[in-house]
Amino acid sequence: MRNTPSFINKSNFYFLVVLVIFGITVAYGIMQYQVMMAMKVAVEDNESRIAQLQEEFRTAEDDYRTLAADFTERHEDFLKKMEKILPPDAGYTDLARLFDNFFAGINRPGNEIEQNNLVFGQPQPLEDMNHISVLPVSMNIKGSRSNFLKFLEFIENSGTLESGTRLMELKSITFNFEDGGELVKDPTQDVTFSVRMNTYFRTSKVAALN
Amino acid sequence: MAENTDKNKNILPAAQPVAAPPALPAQPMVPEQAASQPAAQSPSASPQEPDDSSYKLDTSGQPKESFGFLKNLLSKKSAAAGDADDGNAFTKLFGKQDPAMRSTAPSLSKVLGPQPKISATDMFDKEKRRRALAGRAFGFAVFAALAVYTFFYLQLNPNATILQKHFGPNIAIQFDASNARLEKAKTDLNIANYMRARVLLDDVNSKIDPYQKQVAIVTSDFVTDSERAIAEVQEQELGAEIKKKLVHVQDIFKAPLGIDTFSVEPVTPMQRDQKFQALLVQALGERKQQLHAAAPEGEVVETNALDNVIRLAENQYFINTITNSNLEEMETKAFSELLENIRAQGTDEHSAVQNIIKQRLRWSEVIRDVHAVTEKVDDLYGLGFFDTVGGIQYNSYSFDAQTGKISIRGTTKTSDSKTFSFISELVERIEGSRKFKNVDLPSFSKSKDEEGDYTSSLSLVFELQPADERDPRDDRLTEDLEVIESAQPESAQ
Repeated sequence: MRNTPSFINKSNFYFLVVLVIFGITVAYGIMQYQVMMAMKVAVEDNESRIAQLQEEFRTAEDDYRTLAADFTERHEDFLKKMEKILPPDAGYTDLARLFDNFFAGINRPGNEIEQNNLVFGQPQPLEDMNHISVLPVSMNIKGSRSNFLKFLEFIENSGTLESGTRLMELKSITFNFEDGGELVKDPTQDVTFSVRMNTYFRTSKVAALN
Repeated sequence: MAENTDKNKNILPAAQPVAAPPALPAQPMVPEQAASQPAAQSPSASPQEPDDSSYKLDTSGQPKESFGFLKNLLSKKSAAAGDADDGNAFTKLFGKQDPAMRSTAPSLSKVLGPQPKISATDMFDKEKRRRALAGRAFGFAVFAALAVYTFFYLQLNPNATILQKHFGPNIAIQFDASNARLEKAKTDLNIANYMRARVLLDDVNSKIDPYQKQVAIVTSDFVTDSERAIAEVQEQELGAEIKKKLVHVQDIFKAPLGIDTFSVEPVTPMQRDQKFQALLVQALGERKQQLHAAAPEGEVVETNALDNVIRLAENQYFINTITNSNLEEMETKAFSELLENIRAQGTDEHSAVQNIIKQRLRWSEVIRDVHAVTEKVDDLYGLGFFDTVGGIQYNSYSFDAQTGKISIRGTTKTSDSKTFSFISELVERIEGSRKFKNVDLPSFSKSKDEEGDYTSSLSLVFELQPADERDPRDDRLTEDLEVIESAQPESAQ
């Protein structure tokens, strides 16, 4: 009495197992088939979208080239000045020449100015704008009061498009009057001053890449 | 056979019905079946079998001849002994059976029908066949499962490249490659768009200063009407030109950076844009490296442009500022502020230069401010009358932009003994100025010279006061001094 039902149930159980496996297989197959079909559709769809994007890219690039050429043409002077205002490297020698030219330009008999020394510090990128680096410079100068003020004006106007000179900034300045106190109305009064300033340049491409 | 019989016995009770429904049609019994039926199982074959029809109900619901045998028994009891030929005991008791009824009443075998053919051997064989069938079905199912799994594994796994040589890349590889190409196409488009935006913004940048200059002229009280009218026209022209370019830039920035690609995991638009922004920056960096490798000494402008585009792509706050601006309804003042904001937030080189310039101290102006404050105390300051008239004389200045500290060394000379009051007034004037704060003069000392004048050395240290900072001492001291100044002439009179 006990063997018979189990005997019969075994084959049923086997059929049930087969049914379950078959069911899982069918379900898995349907799901994967749907995924596969979705992928196929996606691939076909992507092809048309890629073609459309490439067409848009060509239009945008043409537009960019037109804009860039127009901008370069109209702003050639601007771009050249920007190259001077923010040179692509520290440019010690150019800077030394710049100061020499400036001082030579304002040095006149009776209204003199003389740069006694020029010291460059270690260049380093700015913390908040690392695409721009700073080159510290310090110098001692002796000159007339009017030339001293011209020097201040020269530094204060640097970096503007109007001046077209390299961007500089006075960080500290100490000056004293050799012959007693300050004479505001005397432009020839001798002033000895030492300045510490920053000059700026574009961070080196090599440094930026590293 | 004995086992089979046993099994048959075991099966039979289960298969034997308790009572067949009366409605079942009577089945004619095959002779063989009838022969094989045991007597106990075939009651109709027995002559002593009571007529089961006597227990049937008639249509009225009353038993049919249900008490007939009792009537027969009572009426024929006395003649029972000599009347033996009339039948056996059952006949005498129950009466003779109606021949019509005998012929029409179905037997139990007829009611039950033929005995089902149930055989353990058959069952076993059938089970064996079912098991064999199940085994084959199991094998087929497993094979099908493996085949399905293998097929889809080979199709949907990008790492399954075993059949790639023969059948080409599977659908998953094609899918990945297609998505990658789509992403690249979109990134290329983003690069081109952002480069366009950069050029447009550079153009805007180059027009900000001229525009602001015209705005300043228009709002100035120190220009003629004709100058203002010319400035207004130029301001409107420049403003319209800038707005037109900014609208173009807005269109570029408002377009989604990402593109919807098919993926298993759901992706939000924000995640997609972030991904494509990273792809944009990465692609620009790669392009920059390629340019650098190809022309390390040249293409400076091109690499600079790429640098500016990279910074623009990373500056989401700046992009949001431009995107969220309602340019059409913006008035001159708001537009001017927006341009200032664009300049301040811009990460391009021109904006960076402008920001440094904006923060740069103009020391010549600081010197003029010091003079102005000093002249309020000594109106002959710096005119060369110190030796004769006295007053204040500065010998050296020291400015530090980093700390904003100003140190001045000098001398004061007064004809009376109120030298310290004179110095105090200078200190108060400096403190009261909106330009300076935190004057430090810890000690006072004076001496009388040969001419009877009192001189005192001066060492002032104070700080620059930012333009947007208000020091409570400014107003109070300035007001006090103004009161003192206004009161002095009255007291003198």
